Amino acid sequence: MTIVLFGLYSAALYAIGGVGFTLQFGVTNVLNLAYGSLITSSIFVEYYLTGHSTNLWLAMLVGGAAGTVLSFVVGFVVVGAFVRRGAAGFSIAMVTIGISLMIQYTLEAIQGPVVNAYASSNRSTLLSVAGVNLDSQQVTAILVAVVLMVVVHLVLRLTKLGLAMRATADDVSLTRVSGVSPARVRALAWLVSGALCGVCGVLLGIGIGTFDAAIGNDFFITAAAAAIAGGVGKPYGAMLGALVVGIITQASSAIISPAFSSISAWVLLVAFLILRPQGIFATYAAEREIVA
Amino acid sequence: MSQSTVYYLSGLGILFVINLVAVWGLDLHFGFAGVNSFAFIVFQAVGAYITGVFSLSRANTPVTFETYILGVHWPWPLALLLGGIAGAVLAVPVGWIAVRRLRGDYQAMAMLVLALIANSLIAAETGWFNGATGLESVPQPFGNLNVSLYDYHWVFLALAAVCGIVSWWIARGIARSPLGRSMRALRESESALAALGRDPNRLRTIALVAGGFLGGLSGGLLIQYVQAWGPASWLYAETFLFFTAIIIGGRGNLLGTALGTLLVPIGIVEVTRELPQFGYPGEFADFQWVAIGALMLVFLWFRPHGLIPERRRVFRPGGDDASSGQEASARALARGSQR
Amino acid sequence: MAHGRPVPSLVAENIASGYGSGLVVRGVSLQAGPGEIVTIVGPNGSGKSTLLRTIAGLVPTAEGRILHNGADASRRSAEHRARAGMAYVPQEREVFASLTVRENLMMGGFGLSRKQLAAALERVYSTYSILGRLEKMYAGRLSGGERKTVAMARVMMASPDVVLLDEPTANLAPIPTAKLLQEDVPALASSGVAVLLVEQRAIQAITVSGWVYVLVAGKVEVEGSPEQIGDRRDVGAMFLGRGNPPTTVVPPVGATSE
Repeated sequence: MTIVLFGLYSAALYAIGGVGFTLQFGVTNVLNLAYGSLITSSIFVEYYLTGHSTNLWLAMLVGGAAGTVLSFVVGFVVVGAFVRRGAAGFSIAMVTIGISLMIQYTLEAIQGPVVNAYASSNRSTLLSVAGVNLDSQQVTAILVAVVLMVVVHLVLRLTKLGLAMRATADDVSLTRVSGVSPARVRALAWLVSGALCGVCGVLLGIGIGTFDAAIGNDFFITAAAAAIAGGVGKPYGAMLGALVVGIITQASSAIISPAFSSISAWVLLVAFLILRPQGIFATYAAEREIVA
Repeated sequence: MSQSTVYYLSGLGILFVINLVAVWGLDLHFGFAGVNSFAFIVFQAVGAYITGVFSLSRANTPVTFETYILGVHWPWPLALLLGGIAGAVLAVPVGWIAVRRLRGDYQAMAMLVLALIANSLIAAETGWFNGATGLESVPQPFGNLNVSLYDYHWVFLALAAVCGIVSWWIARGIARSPLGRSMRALRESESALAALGRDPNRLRTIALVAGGFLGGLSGGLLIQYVQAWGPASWLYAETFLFFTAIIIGGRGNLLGTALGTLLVPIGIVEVTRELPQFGYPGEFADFQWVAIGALMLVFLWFRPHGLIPERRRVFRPGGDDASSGQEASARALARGSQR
Repeated sequence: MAHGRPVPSLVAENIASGYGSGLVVRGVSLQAGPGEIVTIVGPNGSGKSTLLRTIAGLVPTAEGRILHNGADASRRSAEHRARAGMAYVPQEREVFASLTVRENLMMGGFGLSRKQLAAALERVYSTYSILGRLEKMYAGRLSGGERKTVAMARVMMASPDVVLLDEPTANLAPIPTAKLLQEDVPALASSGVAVLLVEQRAIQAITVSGWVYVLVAGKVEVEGSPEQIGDRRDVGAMFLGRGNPPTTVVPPVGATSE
């Protein structure tokens, strides 16, 4: 039961992060390896801007806004400029790595030698199921994740922009000859991805209570595991993948050792990449060649 | 020059050669075979660990709490060679996993995650290579040579230079061989190479194994030089240090990558250690990494082919015949319409 | 040169284009007008698909001009050309496989208001009767013929005045091929659309065409009415699969030397 409940809580964070990642990857076709550092930056902005506030609603607002702006600048402006200049494939991945290094180590320099910590908030037990206590922060995170997933679903299914995003993820050329400019859609994808990334960042940071400049990196890979297990570019798959990854990380942490919580998710990721590459990414994998 | 300056410079020379061996190894992966070897640091790590546990002895461990496998205290040349071979062997499964089945972004992603898994696993498993603490007090080559610390640097530099020459010989041999030319063709167009009747995966695997050997060799040298090796020495970001050297120097060009090695791992990382440090411990390293990231972007923007670009050979993927046949048809038709 | 050809709504003036440094299309001039089916035939690799992609704006025009209703579209983006009434159906991946049929149609009518969209949907549903049955299916699950129908319906949503069709009968069985070439395409043209058709099944396509261009190695080598093209034994031998290669002098038709 502990595993299921805490798995659900982990899944909530992975779902938000994973959907943000997969939505942007699917639409823009850019493997954003700076996503982890964007998560970290959102926490830093929230931490310093709100004076270490642990008010979740304020934190999500500030962190989400920070993520949105940073993601747009990094992705649409900087990476977009490289794409327009003719960079593709591997070069783009390297660009995002360069950005990631710059962000991460700037934050580390800002942070200094100490680990940033939120004041221990007064976390009351809100929900007690079968002897397992979830505090208000965890319950809020789960609820927020559910609401965000429903919103993402409705936007993708029912709005014209959602349709355009799915169409762009499916086939850029066909979207263009349908008269839809991919630039607007891509911009939107970076914005939405950034907002999700920011929200998930502050939930993660406040949830753990302490953070450093590397917090987003490992988390990003695990969230990406959720996204890839569910099928890249498929937000619904990412939600399901997040549940699987959430449970697996909690289970392996409880059964083997805490050190294995992330490792097991990463192994899952590699296993999915190797065993089901075509099955999962049928629409994308075949076309991607290395161009540098 | 004062003795300490000479000592410092010879140390830089050693690190240059060790990094160069690694960069050439990565260049075989990335520059020649076009494999996004984001897990390259693992090859160096495995080489270091294997060399370490083969040269350490179980009985004479000065730090009593170290636990690791083997500890057979074999002669250092053998341990070093085994380090290189370990890298080459590792290339086989890595090649199968990441190269045979995956391309492009997915390959890069899988490699990156493999590097993370390897690092976390080895840090978590204390029984293999002493976990997060890592190996310490690894015996040095010619350790019983009765020379001063200053002179020993020259001995080690000579040893490193020999390894560097061997690496140059391997890398250049592959680059200049028909194999190397095929590899470049492979990178440009896989279908074209397949059309020529060469198995692209076999070529990739050969490049991976040779590059893996160089990676392992550099790791073996590194642990013999610094005498210690732990998970903190090979965080996945280190791979990008080598990638930066290749991007700046010029992918697929041994001379260019040597220049890149001189500029990045040596110029930015090692030389600047002597600058007056500021801030708290580690702050300086942070700015080094920011500079490396920035340098990567600057080069990808202004000189994506590096300082010494590879000579581009025009490789036409078989279309010539088709279009020359069409030229003939076109001429026939044109004759028809002119008469 | 027009032998009773309509006033063109699409004109290509000596255009050249290609990928990377090599030119695939090397100086092509052609035109198509309302109600006209214009077919481009030629051997594999002669640049037919690249030519259509260039006109659609997916491949940049290196030289020459593309005039769409008199306006120079050469430097316009693909999406701009589409909004101006130029529709393009690629040979493969002609539908959004991960979207439903109805969503595919909505993408076709993306720029329309809600009211216009409803009207357009009604219009294409009545033109292509099977759509109603398919509307909730994912387009990726359709048969080849159904995919083509959805693709045609999708471009019709925006009421284009120029339609570019790249080998619409590739991978189609004989019956859907006949339906497409003998019913759908002529119906499209008779509604006043200029249809530019690239076809491998040259004879079938030529019989419904008003004008034919023969593209070889990126250049128009011969053009003419279907009758004129049919009389050319050399063209027939090379691209239409009949007769022998030219051994005797054939009188020229049309005017295309360089």
